[in-house]
Amino acid sequence: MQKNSHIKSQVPSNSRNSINYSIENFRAIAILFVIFSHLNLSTLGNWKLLGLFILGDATTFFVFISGFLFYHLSSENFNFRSYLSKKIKFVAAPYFFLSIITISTGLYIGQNNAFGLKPTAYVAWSLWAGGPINGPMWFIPMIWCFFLTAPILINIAKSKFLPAALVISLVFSLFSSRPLLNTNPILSSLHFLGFYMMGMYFAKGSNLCKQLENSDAKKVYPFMALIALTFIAYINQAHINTRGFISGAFNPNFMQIGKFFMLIIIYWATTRYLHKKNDSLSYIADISFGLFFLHWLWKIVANKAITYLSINRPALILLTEVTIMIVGSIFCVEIARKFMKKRSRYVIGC
Amino acid sequence: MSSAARITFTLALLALFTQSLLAKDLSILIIGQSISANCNAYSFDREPGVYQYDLEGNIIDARDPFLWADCNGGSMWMPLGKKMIGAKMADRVIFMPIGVAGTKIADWLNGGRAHSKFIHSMSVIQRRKIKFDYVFWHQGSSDIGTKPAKYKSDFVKLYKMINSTISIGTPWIIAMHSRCTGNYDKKIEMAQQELANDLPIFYPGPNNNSLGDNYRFDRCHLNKDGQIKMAQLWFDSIQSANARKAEFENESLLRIFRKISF
Repeated sequence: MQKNSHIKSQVPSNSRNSINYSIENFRAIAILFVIFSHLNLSTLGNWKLLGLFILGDATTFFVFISGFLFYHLSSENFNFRSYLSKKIKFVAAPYFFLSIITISTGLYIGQNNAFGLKPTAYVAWSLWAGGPINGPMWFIPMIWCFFLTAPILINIAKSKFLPAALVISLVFSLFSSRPLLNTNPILSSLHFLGFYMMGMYFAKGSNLCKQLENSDAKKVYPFMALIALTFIAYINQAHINTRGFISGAFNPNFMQIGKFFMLIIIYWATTRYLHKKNDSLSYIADISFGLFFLHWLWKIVANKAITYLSINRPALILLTEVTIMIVGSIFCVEIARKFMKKRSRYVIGC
Repeated sequence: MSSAARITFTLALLALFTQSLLAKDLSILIIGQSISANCNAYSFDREPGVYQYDLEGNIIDARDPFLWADCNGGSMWMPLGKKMIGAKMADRVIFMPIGVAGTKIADWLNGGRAHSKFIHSMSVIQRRKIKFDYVFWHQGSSDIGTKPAKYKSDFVKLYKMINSTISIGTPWIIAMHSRCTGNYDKKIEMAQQELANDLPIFYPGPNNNSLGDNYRFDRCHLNKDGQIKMAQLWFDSIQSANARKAEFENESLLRIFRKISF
């Protein structure tokens, strides 16, 4: 989720711009997936499982994009200090700022008691784990595990061991689960490592990726069939309670396996059909970090509104949620940008 | 009394005292409707180690029907207690089933017909400082037709009311129960499943809907086989909840953070 302006300024060639736009558009699609995955999908009734399968674990796309952009922007002249300095300013700062709101709310409603934590312990634990009040915030401590290990990752990416490291880590990503409630960033990063590696591998531009980029639609059909097969397997496991990292290790994670095939298709589709600037998607990609941080808070507002207005129709519930989450988040982003100008990046990440 | 007899007597007293200090008690509060409140077919007799709280909050021997329950029939709690003792989960299992037959969740809230019993039981719990290790929720068929969103919001209201009384952080195990006399509400079952996955408090319980009519005497309430089967399902759910709680505690590192005590 790095700023697109960096990409454009560093890589001027046409082919590079083409990749940049496709990744930028992919990033917009990814944030929409993340927002949609947080809708009240139980309103879909019998379609709930399909909704969950398609939209759930959309973070995977973001991890892939993060890995892609990391290699794309940092493979040459990598400077760890300057890299970390940027991450502190543009990722950690908004995280701490928004954590003040979410942690204060958690303390106010007594969430620390539910976890058996004293207030100080709750503050420390929430910062470590991301805090369950703002659902998606767990992503930030998790992605910091990648930031802090960047020198190792860049060395692996540049070495001949990348394909082997990719296969091993990707197999583990597909045969493991996130920790319960996403409360351990180290375990989360181990689970997602395969997709981060995959992003770096794709950014390196191997022959395999070029073949995929140049494939026609027919070559993508088998991946669609694989998604359908994975969905059938997913349905058969739907009765099993959500697994954590420990209980899920070395068990097939069909939602993630489905995401792997979807990722290949979306990457192919964006490089083939969405490799040019698209104003709407560019705007969404540009504010994706802000949408990511803020949409959960607006989801709480949406839930209150739905209860208050006694909205019962499933389609109307989903429409209300989408509208309030997206419009509310964009409103906050624009207000922050208007009053804080460039400093808004320190507060809401964009 | 000879000195040998005195020593033996002292040692026996000491052993009894030590045993009572080391004895592990598990207290369980059960809330729900008829199926949880002794409205089933077979009445089980006393079992060693299985106890109940009486109406004043004293611990006394348990047998069907439980004192706090609504009907005079049988429960699944006696065979469940026996299984728990047999599995060495505890030395004493103490039940307090306060269910009321035919109640919707809304009946437990302010103004509902079960609310006065709820208030009375909570006052006993507070007065006697009773701490529970689990809360079992076994209700749902009376809410057939209720909107899932309302079911969930009423449940959260009830949870908050109880949570302000009993020890905070007590795990709740939620049974799936939305089937009675041929009526079955899948949406209520889904709502219960969703509620039951909200860590760190709520855990999935047994699926009562999975029991066919051969386990029921009136196509709704349980016969003896049904009570024993349901006890086994509850037992499995407790074990599964314990494992899930332990996994969450380990993964989240909460144990470490709890050491920060200021």
